[in-house]
Amino acid sequence: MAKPIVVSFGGTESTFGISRIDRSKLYGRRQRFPLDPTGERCQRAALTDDGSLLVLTGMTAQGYFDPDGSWVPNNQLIGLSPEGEPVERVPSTLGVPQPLEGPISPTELLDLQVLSVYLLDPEDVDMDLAHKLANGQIFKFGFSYRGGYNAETGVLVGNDEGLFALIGRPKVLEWSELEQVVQPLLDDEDDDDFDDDLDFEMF
Amino acid sequence: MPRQINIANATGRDAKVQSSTIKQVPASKLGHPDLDIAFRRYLATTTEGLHEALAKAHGDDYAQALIDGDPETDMEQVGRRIGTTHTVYLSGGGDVLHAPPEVVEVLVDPYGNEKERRAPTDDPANVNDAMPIRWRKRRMSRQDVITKFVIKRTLQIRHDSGITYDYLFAMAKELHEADAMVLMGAGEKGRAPLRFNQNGSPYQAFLEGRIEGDKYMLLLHLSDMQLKQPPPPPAPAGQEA
Repeated sequence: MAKPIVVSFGGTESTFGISRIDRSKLYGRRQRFPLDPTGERCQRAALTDDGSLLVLTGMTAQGYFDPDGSWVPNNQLIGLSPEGEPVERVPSTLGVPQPLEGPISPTELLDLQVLSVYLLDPEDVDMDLAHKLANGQIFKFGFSYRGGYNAETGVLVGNDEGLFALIGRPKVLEWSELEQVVQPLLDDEDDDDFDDDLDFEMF
Repeated sequence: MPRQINIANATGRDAKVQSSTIKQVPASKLGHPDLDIAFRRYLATTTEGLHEALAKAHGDDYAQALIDGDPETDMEQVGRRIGTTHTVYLSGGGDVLHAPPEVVEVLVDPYGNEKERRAPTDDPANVNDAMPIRWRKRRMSRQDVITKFVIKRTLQIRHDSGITYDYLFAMAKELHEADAMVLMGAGEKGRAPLRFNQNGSPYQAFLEGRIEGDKYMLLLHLSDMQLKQPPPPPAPAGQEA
């Protein structure tokens, strides 16, 4: 079981158990299976471009290679920023108190590219924080599940369904101006009434 | 890469404009301090080195055979770089199919139980440069949107001429001043979730506008998931209510 998210707000720590949720855990999923002429499920494989090799599941691996084609072991690798500068490894934040910032504006969350969502199990939560979350206020904190070279941002969100942590990275946003024109590529009034049940099954 | 879409405003007037997916800030990645390295897929074993073949040749407990003779390593093949490949399907017996397979669509509930099996049907895209996506009546505050839905993707809508600048700026201004996001719909009646590609995922879409002086940002936030609890697991057979 994963370690909890621990946050510190106003000098008081709060602890949340986490379970990752995604679309398939809420609505199920749709899968397409190819069948052979006898009705048995087909196995997917890959044929190399020259047709000389049929690659089945389990036959390949991935790794880093230098320009001479020699394999470079992972323990020789470091984190590099997009500018090519070495970066420090970020430790996992799970189980480690993270300062909570906020409340933040809804726009800050809209400007985050959400990569994962966790349903939170409030194990030991400061009453003041719980009250603010229940009132729709949102807070952010530093997050890294396993540790690595990229710190992510977590946002605590509460609603009638429960408490959630949305994890992501900032989006790159640009204003549009009159001088800035995107070059095109070569390549009903009858609306519904207010309906709170948007269709998310959509199969 | 920009893509042309047709979008209507609150009064139903439509125009063809450009849209592009907003990216996240570039991430750090693994590298070597002195070498220019590349990440590649390579052949780790051949069919003779897969579990079934090894178990057949050496018995289920073949660990010692691996230590003694490296039977999983074909020195002529292992390490070969895998470049471009083409997908092929193998029959249940392992033979390459030379005709397209029949495809069946299976609906699975959140707990992995099959709900339905059916012939697949194609769901056409409904976002294109011909039919506009439209404003629906429903407006929501940013607060409501972020506490009810997970935004999976965001498209930025941009002008490609002075005329469409005025058109999009006015749209962004209206939403900015209303401090609201508007639900967008697609299709003939403008009520359907947005589907950008044939058989692609459908999204509920919320249009947000921001302005600063003469600059604007018109953002189409796409969601395929609510912020809610998973449904309770089904009762075991014989214990249904």
